[in-house]
Amino acid sequence: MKSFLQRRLVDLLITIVGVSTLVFFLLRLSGDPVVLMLPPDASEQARQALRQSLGLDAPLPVQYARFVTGIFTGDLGNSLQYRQPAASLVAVAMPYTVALTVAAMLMSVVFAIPAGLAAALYRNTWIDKLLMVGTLLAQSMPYFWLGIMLILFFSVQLQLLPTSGTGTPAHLIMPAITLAIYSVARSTRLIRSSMLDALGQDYVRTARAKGLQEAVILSRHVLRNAAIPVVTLLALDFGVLLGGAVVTETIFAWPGVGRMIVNAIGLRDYPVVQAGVIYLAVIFVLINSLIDLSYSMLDPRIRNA
Amino acid sequence: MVTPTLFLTTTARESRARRRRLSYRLLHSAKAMGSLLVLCVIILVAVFEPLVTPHDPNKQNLLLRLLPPAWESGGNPTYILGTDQLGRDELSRIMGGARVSLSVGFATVVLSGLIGVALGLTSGYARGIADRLITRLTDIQLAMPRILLAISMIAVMGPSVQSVIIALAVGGWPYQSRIVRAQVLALREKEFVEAARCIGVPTHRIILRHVFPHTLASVIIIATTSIATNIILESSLSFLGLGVEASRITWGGMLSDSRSYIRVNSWLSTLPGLAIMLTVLAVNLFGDWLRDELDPRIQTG
Repeated sequence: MKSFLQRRLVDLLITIVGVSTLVFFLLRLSGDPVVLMLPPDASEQARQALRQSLGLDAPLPVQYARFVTGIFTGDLGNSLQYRQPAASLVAVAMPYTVALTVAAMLMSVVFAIPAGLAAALYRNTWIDKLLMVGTLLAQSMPYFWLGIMLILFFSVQLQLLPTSGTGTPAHLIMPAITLAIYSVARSTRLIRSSMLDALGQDYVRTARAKGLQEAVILSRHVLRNAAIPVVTLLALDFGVLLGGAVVTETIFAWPGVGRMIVNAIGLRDYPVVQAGVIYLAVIFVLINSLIDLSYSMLDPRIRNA
Repeated sequence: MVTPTLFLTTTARESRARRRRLSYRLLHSAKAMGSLLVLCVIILVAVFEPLVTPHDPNKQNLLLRLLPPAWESGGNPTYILGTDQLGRDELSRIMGGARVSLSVGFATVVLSGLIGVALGLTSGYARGIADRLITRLTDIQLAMPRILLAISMIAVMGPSVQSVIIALAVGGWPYQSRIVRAQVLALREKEFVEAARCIGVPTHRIILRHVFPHTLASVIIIATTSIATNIILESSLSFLGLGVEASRITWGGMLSDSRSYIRVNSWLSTLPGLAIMLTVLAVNLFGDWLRDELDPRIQTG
């Protein structure tokens, strides 16, 4: 178990470094950031001065080394707009993004499990068909459009929920639904097919032949085996949710990292963009590894491999 | 002299064979034909956009701004779906938006497909250090949410159709390469590959002519679902203002503009979203059918 954990930790570190490297090169190779940050008629001296203050005039390997150590020490430059360390600005916004994402995931689990179960157990009845049509529609619609429609209906027409901002649980409902919709749809479908798969297995038939009650068969045998692909999907979904949080936060003025990045891009606040993207990716990798770990603990075949 | 009856009768076996052919099944499936029809209409509208739109989508008429659709009170029959905040015809703009969405959707899939399949074939067949490197790269890319990757790239490349296509393709190729690699790993152990190797077929030909065709089914399936994802990603980017050039008409951009006027004209926020949903639904339905036909063993999800 210990060497397994060690291997996982090394993997995690390599992935974090790898992701940051990717972002590092992407942000530098796709164009000169200094050119973008200053007005087009800025003098070459102004550009040079900015380059020096940002440390962009150092040779690339030096910049890279500074960058990587900066991720772990929390020093990724200062925001051009607020003149504060970019990393601390991101740290303030991160809990909001995580809260939104977790709320969406919870919502997804709470709705998808009963829905998927119902669809599987009542296969081909109207429940199943309704759910399948519903999930297909949910997967086909742009989630941010759903957010706008929710605002239109619940805030503008019904005056029930606040349009934006944060503070009360009521503020969280619509953003979470918007973010979760795709995940709910996909999870429902997956739980349904996973359950159908498990229900068709020989051991279920044997258990029924033995005379075991349906409820016991479900809880002791089927659910546990059906859970494994669902956990994997939850891990994949987290990335989708983090990405979706970017747009969702913009619509609902939710003060998370996503909105911060989008605003920073508009203001050419390059260090904040970098810090935001990196730390979001790091969180994603961390959560993924955690889910990976739990996945291997759920499935004894992997644990003992 | 051949009697006509010899040509008209078919054996039971021939009937069965004909029913199994994909083209037959395509024409006889309501799901496939329906979604394909909708897609064709959308594609035709996108291609022939200048000819099909009732008005010029960019022509402003500030006297007639924010009109509701013709069937609502205050509507104008010349502008069937109403007008936007600058008096431009909404129907024409919706038709215009199809161009960007479809072209980005398809182009991205082609580009990411090419890269992904090439890398998947290489890494799956060659094994060794090339494989480890490519797999590591795939994992790293998958470790980052695609929209973040795209935003980072477009932030520096500047908004344009090319940047969006490149940014989305860079984020999208790992999905193809993963599946292709998994299949190649299994295929390379089969006897026909070993036989080809024995008689001296060069490696590149083995990969291209013998191994690759077996991966085609999965590639097509993933490509179809990718079109849907890419259309939604592109509209998300345009919504944020980080997609294609601001001068082009996009459904995402229309949705973004409509937000300020939501209390005055809610149709502006509804219609572009419906357009996106219709397009993606058609792609998803067709992809579903295709997946059922090409490989019923793959789980739907």
